[in-house]
Amino acid sequence: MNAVQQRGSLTQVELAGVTGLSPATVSNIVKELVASGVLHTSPTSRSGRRALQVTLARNLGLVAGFHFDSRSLRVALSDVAHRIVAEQRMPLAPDHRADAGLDRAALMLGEMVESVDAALDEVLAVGVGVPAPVDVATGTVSSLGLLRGWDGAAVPEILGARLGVPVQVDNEANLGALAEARLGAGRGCQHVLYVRVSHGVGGGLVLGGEVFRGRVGAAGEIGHVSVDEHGSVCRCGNRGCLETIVGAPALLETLRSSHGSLSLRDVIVRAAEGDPGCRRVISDAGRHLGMAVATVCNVLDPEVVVVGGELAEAGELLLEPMRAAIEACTIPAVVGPVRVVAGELGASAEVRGALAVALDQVSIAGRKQVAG
Amino acid sequence: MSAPVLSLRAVAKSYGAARALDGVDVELHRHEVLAVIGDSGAGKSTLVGVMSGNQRPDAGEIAVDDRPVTLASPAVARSHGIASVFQDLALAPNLDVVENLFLGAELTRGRLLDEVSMEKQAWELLGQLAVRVPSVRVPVGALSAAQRQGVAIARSLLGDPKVIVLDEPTASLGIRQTAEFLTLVERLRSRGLGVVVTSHSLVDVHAVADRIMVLRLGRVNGEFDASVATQEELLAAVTGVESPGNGAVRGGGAR
Amino acid sequence: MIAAFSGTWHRVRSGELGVLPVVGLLALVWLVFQAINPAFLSSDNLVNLTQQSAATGVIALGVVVLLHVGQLDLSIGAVSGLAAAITAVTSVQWGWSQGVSVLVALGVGLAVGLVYGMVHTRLGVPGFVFTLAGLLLVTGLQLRVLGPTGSINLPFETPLVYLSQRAFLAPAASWTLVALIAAGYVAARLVERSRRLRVDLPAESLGALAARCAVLVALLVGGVAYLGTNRGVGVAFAVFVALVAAVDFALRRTRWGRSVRAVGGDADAARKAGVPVRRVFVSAFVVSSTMAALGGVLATGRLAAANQGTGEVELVLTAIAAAVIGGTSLFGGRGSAWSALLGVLVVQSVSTGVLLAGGDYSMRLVVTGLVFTVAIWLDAVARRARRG
Repeated sequence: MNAVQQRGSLTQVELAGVTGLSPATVSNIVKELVASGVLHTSPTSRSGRRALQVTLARNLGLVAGFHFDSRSLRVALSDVAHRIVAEQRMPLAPDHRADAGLDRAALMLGEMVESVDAALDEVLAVGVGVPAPVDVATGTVSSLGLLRGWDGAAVPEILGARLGVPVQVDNEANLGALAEARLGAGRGCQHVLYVRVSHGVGGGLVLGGEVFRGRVGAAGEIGHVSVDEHGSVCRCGNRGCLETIVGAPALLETLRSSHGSLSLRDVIVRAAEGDPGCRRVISDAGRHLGMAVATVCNVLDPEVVVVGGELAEAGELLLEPMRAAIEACTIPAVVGPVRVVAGELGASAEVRGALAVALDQVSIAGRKQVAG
Repeated sequence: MSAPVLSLRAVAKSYGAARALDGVDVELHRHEVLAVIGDSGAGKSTLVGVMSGNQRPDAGEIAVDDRPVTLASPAVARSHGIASVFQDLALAPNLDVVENLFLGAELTRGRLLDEVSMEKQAWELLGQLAVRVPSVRVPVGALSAAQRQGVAIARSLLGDPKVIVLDEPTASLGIRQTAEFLTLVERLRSRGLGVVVTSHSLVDVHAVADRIMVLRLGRVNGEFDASVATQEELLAAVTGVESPGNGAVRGGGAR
Repeated sequence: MIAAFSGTWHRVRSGELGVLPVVGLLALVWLVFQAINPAFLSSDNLVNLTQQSAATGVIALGVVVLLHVGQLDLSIGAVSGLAAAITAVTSVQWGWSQGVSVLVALGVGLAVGLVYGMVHTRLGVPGFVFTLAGLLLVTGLQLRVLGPTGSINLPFETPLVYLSQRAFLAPAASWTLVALIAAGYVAARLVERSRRLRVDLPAESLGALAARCAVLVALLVGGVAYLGTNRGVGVAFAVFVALVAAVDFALRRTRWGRSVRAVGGDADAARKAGVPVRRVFVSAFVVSSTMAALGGVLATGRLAAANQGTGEVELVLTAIAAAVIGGTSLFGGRGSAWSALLGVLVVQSVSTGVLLAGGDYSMRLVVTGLVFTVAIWLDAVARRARRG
């Protein structure tokens, strides 16, 4: 099952190779799962041999989610039952341009749709997450300078023209918050604060089960909470934002003189291996994050704080100092401090959120049709 | 910072009267992706050929971990820890995936080939790199371009190289395959390898490179920190329109 | 029905079925000639057929190895003629022991291969070009060795003649061999299967394995039993089959064999992968020439004579035709040692069959040529299918 989900579609022979099971066993398992409606098989011809192509069974109708991070693009394709049928990640150049990124995303979607034996017109809606505040009503980036190359890009128009479907654009952290609240670590909670620590630092709020966006979509931008008014100038133009202290460039710069040029992933890996310098940098980041999050908690009092983004992969190393700082800076409650947990959806949280908003579009359209 | 794992000093190579490389210096560290870009005829392929032992430079020094070496053939280069994936991939189309992966480095039991161990390792290796093939027993000629490339990269990783040299890897790939390839390069980097990628597609290599070296007419026409260099600066250096701007770590004319 | 046929056709084209098409072809040839002349499938004729196949078959086996690296040696006939002449002259006129004579003849074959290998790897000239020069040279040598009479007869009772003409495996010996081969094959398969299962690799089911072994045993037992109703399995033929099995093993299970196939597939790729390409080429030329010499020695024994006609051009073409008809590609890198056995059986069956059916020499050449043409066509089609 897992093997099919990871790869979108594959033949029974491949399945045997990947899982290490005998072809006969695979064949039996596949038969059972087809009978119970989980898998779908179709005859195909790979390298001249007749073979049985195995895909996850899907209901008619697909939705796509795009997640643009500053250095990567993630595309996921799911059916209307929120079953992911294909997912793909692609590294992007720094400060790539919106039109180039969207172009690649659209091309990628085309190839992915093809890979699950579907046609592009089966895609009913698209959700897009970008790492900047978005005015959801118009779908444009509402704050200049945060995402060079994307300022003022009319994402719904560009993508809508290429794909011919409704396009819903939102801030990536909002989408991550939505996904974690609905499907991940925040399941069952009404009020969720999602903090995304990656290349940049972002945040999203789910209040009363709905994403809270604020006036122009800038709600939850915890990365730009000012923590040091004499600090360095941030890409947003202000001074001493949280991001200038715990964003990836800041962390990597701290390590540059001692460790040379590293990537955020290198830091996480080395910290896990016990490198003291990398561990220190991550725990310091946790403390700073905790202090900023505490302020939010004092204002909003969420049920849970979910930490996502690449740095969350450092686990307790980041969360432990965060909890300590939050506990020290929030009003003590009888039931104890707010829960702080790592996201369950990992790097896929934002793209899952994008799928969720796309699905919401589809079901709204469906209801309208029924009503009309 | 640690010593470069691979360094080239003042390497030159001519084909008759044409100077393909002229005094080129390269330094590559572990955990680093160096992209080499330039027009066709800029000397990219020759540079890769010199690094992979496929071509002998006329002049210059090559050192691996600060020890001078002579890369007389691809096999010698590999013995020094430099593995290459050639643009033509150098796979035998009639051999299957396992046979190609272990070609020239077969596992044996006694004097006979150990097919079982090779097949097992092949699946593991391809799995680690997330390279998908229908079966490891199909002839490589029957695979798609991306699958073949995955096999070629997997092969280069056998024998734990320190450096992997990739020549025009995205030339024949679709976008999804390119995405998979770029992710693969990131994975190689995080394994601690030094990676050299040549390409004429700026966008692709810019996404994964730490440093970008621009070759023009056989000379280094600028070296850039990939995280700050802009596409415009890089293009200018490739075409030689303007002197390199802010992102340049090292200008061609400065030396 | 049509779908089934086109499926099969596709698999024939892509070369996926291995030697099966040739087995089918052999069966077809046998059925046709049996229908024309009921004596064709008599055990007597089949024993003759196997005995006649040995010499040409050994030469074809050398061709198979050389074709694997994508090369052709047109002088194999001349080399076999030279080997025959050396064997005859040294043992009859100079009075050497026949064992020594044969070894010297094989040594000369080996030396010729070594020279060819050097020429090919140093000058990069395709084999079929410089072996033409070799053909003239070696033929000249053969004539010089044979001397003015141009023909030397070997005494009927010498060991070589006895071994290649009249020596047959005793029933006990042949059945012991059959039992050993079958047991060895089954054991090897079972060991491989259990090793694969131990490391979680897909393995052949026991049923398929049993079926495979049953087919092998049935072929062996059937063949030995039927030939046994006449004179039995000839020593020369048994040696030939053993050689085929040995070469097959070397091609599939040793690093040398892997290198040979890689070089035939893409020599440049093999070089970049670290295969010692030059050595592989030289070894293939050596195997080919040595096999040709051995084939010449066996032919001398069978004819009890060496003359100027030994190793004539027809022998070259028959051996190459046999290899290609057996399914070894002219384009290199693909084939099987067994194609030498099956191919030579087809070619010899056509020769004897045409004669038994009342046709003459010209008829024989025409039919063999037609079968050869079909084989080349299939080979070219298969190559295109693999590329396409």
